[in-house]
Amino acid sequence: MNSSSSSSMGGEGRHDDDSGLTEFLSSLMDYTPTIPDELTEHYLGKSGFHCPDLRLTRLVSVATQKFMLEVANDALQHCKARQAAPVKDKSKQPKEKRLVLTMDDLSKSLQEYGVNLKHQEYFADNPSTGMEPTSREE
Amino acid sequence: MRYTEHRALRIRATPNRNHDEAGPTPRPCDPQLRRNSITRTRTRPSHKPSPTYDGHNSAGRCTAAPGSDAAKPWEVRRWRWLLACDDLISSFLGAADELGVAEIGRTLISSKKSRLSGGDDFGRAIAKIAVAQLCESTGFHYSRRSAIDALAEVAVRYICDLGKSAGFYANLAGRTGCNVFDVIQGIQDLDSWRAFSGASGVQRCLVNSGVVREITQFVSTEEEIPFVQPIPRFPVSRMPKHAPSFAQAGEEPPGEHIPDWLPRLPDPHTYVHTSVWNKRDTDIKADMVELAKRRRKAERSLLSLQQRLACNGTAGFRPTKDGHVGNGNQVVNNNPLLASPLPYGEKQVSEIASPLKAYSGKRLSVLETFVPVIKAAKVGSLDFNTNERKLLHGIRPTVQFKVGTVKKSVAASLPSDTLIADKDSWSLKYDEKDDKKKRAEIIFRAAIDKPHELAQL
Repeated sequence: MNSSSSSSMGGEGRHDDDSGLTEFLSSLMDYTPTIPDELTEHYLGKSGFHCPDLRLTRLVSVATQKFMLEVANDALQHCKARQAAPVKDKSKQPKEKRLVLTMDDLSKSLQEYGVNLKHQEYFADNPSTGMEPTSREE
Repeated sequence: MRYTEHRALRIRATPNRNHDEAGPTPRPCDPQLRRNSITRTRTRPSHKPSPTYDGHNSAGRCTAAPGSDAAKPWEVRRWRWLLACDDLISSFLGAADELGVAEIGRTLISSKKSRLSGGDDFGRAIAKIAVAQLCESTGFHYSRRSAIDALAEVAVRYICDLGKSAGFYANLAGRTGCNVFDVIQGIQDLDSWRAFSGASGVQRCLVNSGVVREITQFVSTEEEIPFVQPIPRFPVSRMPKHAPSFAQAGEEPPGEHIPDWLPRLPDPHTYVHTSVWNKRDTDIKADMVELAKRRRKAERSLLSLQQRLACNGTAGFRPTKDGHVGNGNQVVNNNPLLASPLPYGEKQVSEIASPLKAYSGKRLSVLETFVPVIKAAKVGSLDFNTNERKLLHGIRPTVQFKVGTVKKSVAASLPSDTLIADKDSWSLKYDEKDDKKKRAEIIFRAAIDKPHELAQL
């Protein structure tokens, strides 16, 4: 039943799907992604993706750009949240305009997307550097 | 039924000299800790094809495409191009010590980092620029260099993963070429950590999936941020220069068994030691002429030096010499060179063979006039017309030699026989040894007569 209804509807559905597909792809071609086509093609070629169609390349770069923008937006939210939290009523403006993308914000936002980005905060010469002298003797 | 596999890839990102990190040479205190380790937890259903990553070393890097290591000069050119891109980044990021593609380029040119990152620096630099543009559009004013590096690495890895997934979906369907549905399924795969509509439906066409809808929405709402500069296709693969075949070189293959479409055999000098001939043909006469020329030149310069010194401070070198054939008491002053020239036609002067015939187009000083004549006599190729009066340069008066007077210059003491335009006498009188002897005598005599002059030299 299910299959028959779907198959009867399939003819029209397929037609809609085709048109939807062509619309989708044509809308892609209007948009110029930030990631250049040559770069995408290079890395797609490296990974075994073979398609001479430019629209698919554009699709990949658009998807990547979308992902990047989401990550960057999340990092921006973290940055703004960090700035808003400590309210200092001093001479300088409370909302400092300097929005800097740091590794902390980036790692927090990437964590939500499943990418674990660990960043060394500092490096030391030996394990006992910076420790109190009493504990160092132990 | 789905179960999730956590595939943790501990990947070491390219170590870069981050200027924002504290401390001198970074050495992690814990050897197990790694810098900038990017891991990925993927959830993948079982029935989907499982991509085989290249293990846990520098994983995520796919098999290198051939020709990914571009030629060196092109690499340098690319970096020069990237240096020009720097103005965008610094304008975006304000402070000069933040990200700079030029700095990246410079450090990468100077250091050996390209070895570590596999020679993919150009692509990574482009990715960094694109990511920086995206950050700027998001609203960031500045960025840490390490953050941009990490984000660019993530972007590159996303593209690679998407390509791999799409490829695997195509292979699963029995195809080698990917189509749009493979790509959509790949995107679904990568974004499967968050729910999107249409993921569970198998019957429905993929075009209606949430992923496509989201992308369509993204495309329609987001404004375009085109990449800053047009970049060429990379990597540039150099076509190897093939040796020409027999047919191309127009040679007959030596032997019937060799078809002519094969490359031609190498030249015999590449495998056989052939003798080398001295290309320069030795012309004995020309060599002797050359030798005599050089000798004359040396003597000439010596003579001119003497005369210049004998001028007693008068400016320039007077080419005229007061000379009289016969009587010798017309010396105006001690120096014959300072005497005023006789008017034309007053004295009978013997004809002089024009030096212009022997040397075509050369300006000769007075002393050189007898040189070619002597030489011509030696060589035996005399070709001058005694009757013809050759034009010396109008500025120079004719040469008049003084005979039999107190000599100051060596040239004047030369026998006047040289001026006789007589073919026969020359070939008889002047062969090389005699001439040399005579000259040596003259110089010697002059040296003895005027020892004080020589002291001036």
